Amino acid sequence: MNRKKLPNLIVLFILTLITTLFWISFSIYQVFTKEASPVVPEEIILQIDPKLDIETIKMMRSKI
Amino acid sequence: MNNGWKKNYLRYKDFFLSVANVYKTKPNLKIYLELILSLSTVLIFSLLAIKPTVLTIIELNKEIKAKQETSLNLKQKIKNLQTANNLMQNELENIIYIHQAIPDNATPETIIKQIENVAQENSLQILGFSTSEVTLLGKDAENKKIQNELPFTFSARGTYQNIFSFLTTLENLRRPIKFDSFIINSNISEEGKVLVLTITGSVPYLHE
Repeated sequence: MNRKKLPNLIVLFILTLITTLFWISFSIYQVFTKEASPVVPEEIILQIDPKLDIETIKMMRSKI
Repeated sequence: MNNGWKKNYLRYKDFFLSVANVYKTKPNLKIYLELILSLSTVLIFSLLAIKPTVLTIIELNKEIKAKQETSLNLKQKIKNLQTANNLMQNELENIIYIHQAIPDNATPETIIKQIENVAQENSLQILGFSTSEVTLLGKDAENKKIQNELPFTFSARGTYQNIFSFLTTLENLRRPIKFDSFIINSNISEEGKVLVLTITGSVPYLHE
């Protein structure tokens, strides 16, 4: 096995490329996992219940 | 000047040709140079083009999804508000009873009048009525704890039947009363044996 050793510059480039690919992957993962900032305040989005308890109102009406 | 330019030109031409000859004759150099250039290109494009583009695409996608969700929520809320508005218009004459039951302010005078009337109707002699400190108008002091309840203490004198009837009527008032305690004491006075009722309770109200 007569293998020639790669020049240091090539090794450096390969390592830099691997690091860059990892960096990009982590950045993409971070963007995916980051919670999207709310477009409008929470109290505006908060849903309301449009139902009215008619039975209770009728009961209130019968009281003095 | 001309001589210097020609001299340098020939010098760099020789240098370039010798490098080109080395590049042609040594296959290793050719491979490594191509590898270095390829790696450099991939690196530069990854950092300057692919990374920002991919990140922007993902962020915009997330933003679009969040805005679509918000839009759906707001549409649902508008629909609910319209339903609630219609319902309120239909039940406008009954809404007043809700305000009477749980008013916006403490309005101690209302509950005092009601209890006084009920006591008179049931022939009870009122001995005392007291409420705790309450804000009648305006906002509460910042350091004050908001309770949304008006505590009161009431005492009256009467017969057992009258007290029983009084309590039954109190339970039937539109404004709900929470009884914390009620005590009935038996006293002997000049009129004979009388019962003294003491009630501690509270009435709710909405806080502005």
